[in-house]
Amino acid sequence: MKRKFLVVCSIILGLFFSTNSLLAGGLKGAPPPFDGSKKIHVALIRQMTEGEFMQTFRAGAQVQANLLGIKLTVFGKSMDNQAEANFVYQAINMKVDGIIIDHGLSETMMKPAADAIKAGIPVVAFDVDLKNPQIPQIAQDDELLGMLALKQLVKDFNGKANVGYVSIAGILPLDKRDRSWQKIKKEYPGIKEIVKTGTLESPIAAKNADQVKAVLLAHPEINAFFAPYDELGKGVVQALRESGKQNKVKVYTADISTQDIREMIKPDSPWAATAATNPASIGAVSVRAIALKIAHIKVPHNILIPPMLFTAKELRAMKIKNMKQLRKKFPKFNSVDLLNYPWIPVDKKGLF
Amino acid sequence: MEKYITFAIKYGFLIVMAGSFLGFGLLEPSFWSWTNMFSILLGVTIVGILALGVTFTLIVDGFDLSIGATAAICVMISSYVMVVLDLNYIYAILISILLGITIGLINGLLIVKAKIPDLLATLGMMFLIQGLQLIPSAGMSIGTGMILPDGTEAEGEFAKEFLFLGQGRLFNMIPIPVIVFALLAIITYFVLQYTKWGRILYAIGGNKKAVKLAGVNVERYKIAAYVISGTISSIAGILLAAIIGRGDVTSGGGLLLDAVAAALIGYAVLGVKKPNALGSVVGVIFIGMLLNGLTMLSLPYYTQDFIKGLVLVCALIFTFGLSKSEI
Repeated sequence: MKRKFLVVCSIILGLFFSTNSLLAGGLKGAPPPFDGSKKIHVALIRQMTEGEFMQTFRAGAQVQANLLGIKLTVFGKSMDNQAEANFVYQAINMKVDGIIIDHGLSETMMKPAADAIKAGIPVVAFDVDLKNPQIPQIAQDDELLGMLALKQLVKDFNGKANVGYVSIAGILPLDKRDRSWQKIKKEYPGIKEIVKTGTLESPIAAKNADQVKAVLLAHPEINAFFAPYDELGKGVVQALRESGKQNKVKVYTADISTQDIREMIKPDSPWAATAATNPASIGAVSVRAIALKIAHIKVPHNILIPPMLFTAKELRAMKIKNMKQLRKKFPKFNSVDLLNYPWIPVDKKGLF
Repeated sequence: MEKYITFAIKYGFLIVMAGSFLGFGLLEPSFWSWTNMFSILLGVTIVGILALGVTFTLIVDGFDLSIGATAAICVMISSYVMVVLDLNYIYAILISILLGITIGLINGLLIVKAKIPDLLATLGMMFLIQGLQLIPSAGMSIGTGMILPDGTEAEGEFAKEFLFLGQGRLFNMIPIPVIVFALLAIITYFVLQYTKWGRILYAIGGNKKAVKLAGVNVERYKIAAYVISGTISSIAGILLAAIIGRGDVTSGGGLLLDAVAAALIGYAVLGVKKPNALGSVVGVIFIGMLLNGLTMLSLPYYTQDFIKGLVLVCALIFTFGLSKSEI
């Protein structure tokens, strides 16, 4: 009896120590603390949580965090700027090892981010200008995103179009894409902005659809829309379908997702083209960036993610039905070769 | 048995609160730090101030639904005054408070003179104000350097002193908005508990006819309650603008419901079963503490609304369900 007891005990202890060493294993060839010396805790603090882009970003961040053995705690309350600032302080109180700030207002987040740095916690930012030389800024090449989509618009309409512009001022990536719009308007006087509208009120697509329907009634001469964010684009498409105008108006956007693809490949879809990056890649890059900061490895101040243009014609021709197929057929879209080190595990499931 | 039930109703809430405070700290020692305590208080300050305001109207058997909208329009107006009109921040504060008083006055008059039921009058005002706040800036958020509808750039900016109101700390520790909240809470508690004025407000809520027969000008008191609610909401708006640092059109979204939930949870504190200042403050702090503690224990952020609702329903069951029904 005693012997059996001892055997069982040793098996349990053995399992305990082996699993413990699995957890404490760390990454091969990695610098501390990723060599297993400490379990790293990172806070991902978000302003926007709604929509496929945001969700895919988070999925990419989570997968990269899992691969690195990082515990990722996500904070976010949709469009609540005051709460976002407070989340940073809560993360500081929780003594996290690193903070990723995902979108937000500069004026609101600059001080909390600076306070985090003062408390010894490294910070990286995505799509919010924290104006701090110690905080790397990650962004899609937003001006190029806008430009790629707009150049396609100019091409499709031979330089003459009446455009409805759906966007919101004050959100950093949208402001950058707006610069491309201003440049295009100057360069091609035949491209006219007939009306500007847009809201980030939840649910974003539905609320924008309401606004665009009104715009269509008031301005029947509009034959194209530029909506540099796919939630806005979805609203425009919904409005066009509900007004029966999907065959008369073309829509040009930024971002791409499975829902977007499914709409774009429909034979009567007004959605002509979109310029995009893989949001999961951006999430992964953000996590890699903060991991490198935590390991005291130098990270460039501006990290720019290059976009690609996708036209509806192309998607239909290549028979692409969802993001998985898109990522397979466009490997350069799929993974972004930035901030990669041999000790950082690569995602084998093809998410980014 | 009855003694135990009375004890449970009176102190149950506070016991649960104390228990959670101890529990969170034992599981996660950094919960008990001063910085975390002030973090919790800062997080609930705006909602707490609004809860104080709505308490006044709840006491007189009314309901000011326009508190969130009033705070939001004050965010926009104070930003507009400083950034677009490029005036001194003192004007931003004065105009906002004046606006709060005016909105309260209109609410009061609609209810008392036009005899519109409280909920409907303030609901209508809420929509009106929500729409109005977007008009001066053509629906855009107001920040330095924004392009105005006439093409020029806005030159003004948020004064440093104004931002200090929202982002500054006393002794590098206590956030200024928390100090304002504490002052308002103390004044409100004192007025409602210890002045004749406060007692009359409660009496009006309890039995309007009797109070009227006793010779009190009920109409004037009711209007006063709404004016106070509007003023307090404008103070919340000013602080919110200072915290965010920008005339953000999306601010004020969930404020109304969070404030009302806090005020209703207040019914359960000390088993008072009436709207009360202490209860509203304790209620709001409890929710803040709960969400903070649970987040430290890795509760996902998207479950927070569920937790708030659970607390509210439990508090109400506790308050009304446990006591003997009064027929």
